[in-house]
Amino acid sequence: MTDSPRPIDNPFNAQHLDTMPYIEHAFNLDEITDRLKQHRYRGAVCGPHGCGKSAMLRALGEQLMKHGLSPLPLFMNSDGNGQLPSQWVRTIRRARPTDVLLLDGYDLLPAVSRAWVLFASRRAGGVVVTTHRPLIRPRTFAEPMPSPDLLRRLIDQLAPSFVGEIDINRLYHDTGGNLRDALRRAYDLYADTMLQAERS
Amino acid sequence: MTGLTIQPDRLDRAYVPGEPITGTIGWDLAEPSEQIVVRLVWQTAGKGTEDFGVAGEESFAVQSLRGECAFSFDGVEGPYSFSGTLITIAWRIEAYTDPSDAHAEQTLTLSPTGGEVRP
Repeated sequence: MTDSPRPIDNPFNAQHLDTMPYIEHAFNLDEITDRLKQHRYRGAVCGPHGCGKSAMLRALGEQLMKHGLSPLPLFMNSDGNGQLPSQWVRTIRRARPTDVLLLDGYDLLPAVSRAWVLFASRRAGGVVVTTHRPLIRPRTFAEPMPSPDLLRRLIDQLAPSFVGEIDINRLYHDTGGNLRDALRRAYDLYADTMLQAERS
Repeated sequence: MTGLTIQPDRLDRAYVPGEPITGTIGWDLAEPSEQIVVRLVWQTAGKGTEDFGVAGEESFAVQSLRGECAFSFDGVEGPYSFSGTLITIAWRIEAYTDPSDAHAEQTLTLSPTGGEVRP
């Protein structure tokens, strides 16, 4: 029997990471939304793994609703083996002029599928994708920039009392600036710290 | 009280596999609603992707702004309430109004001992 803290109570568990509010840094969300509007709501959020692309896409969804548009978020990861998910096909085909498709994982698709997505979504009000490298279409309109300061603010938001317990610069550099990996590592560090505190 | 309350019959909210889960749902609403939905659900939480299951669901037509109704779910065999290093499996009863958005939930445990299983 262990006295370790319960995963459901760990502030870095997946549920908390998925639902935490977006932290504006480097970019102001209103400015980004305006920039997207200038691109007729078609563009790419570009950046390396774990830099905050998905978080920015979720935050943009909220912004688009304020503009009277209806965001349709779709997600895929590498488990899909590059296959176009049937949910994507259904949703893209029925998208209307007031809908904006938010396609997270778009660049995992093969070129022919990406071309189909852009063609089939021509009636939609917009298409915003995430990508790890710049694309010819849609063009990049935002590049989230990770930093140790952003990691500190994320940790402060999830577990304020834990900020002083860990070396955030080291955590950032050990995970190569991948904020997602850093927060997953923080999950383990938090569990270890709580366990040691209980034992002492 | 304004909103929804869930009062399980078993005050310790500790159930063994197969034991029916019963209780009362009460409401005191600020605006009319058509129905109240009560669900028995389990959910994982932890470092990885979440999973979720609905073990039972009942709905009650709402005739007035205030009232209460008994709910009853057949006993379930699992998964047991559990907390390890990477994952918690947690059970709860949740209730919400439809179409308005009042919401309430009560956690419970399900295991042969009545407590959360720990490795």
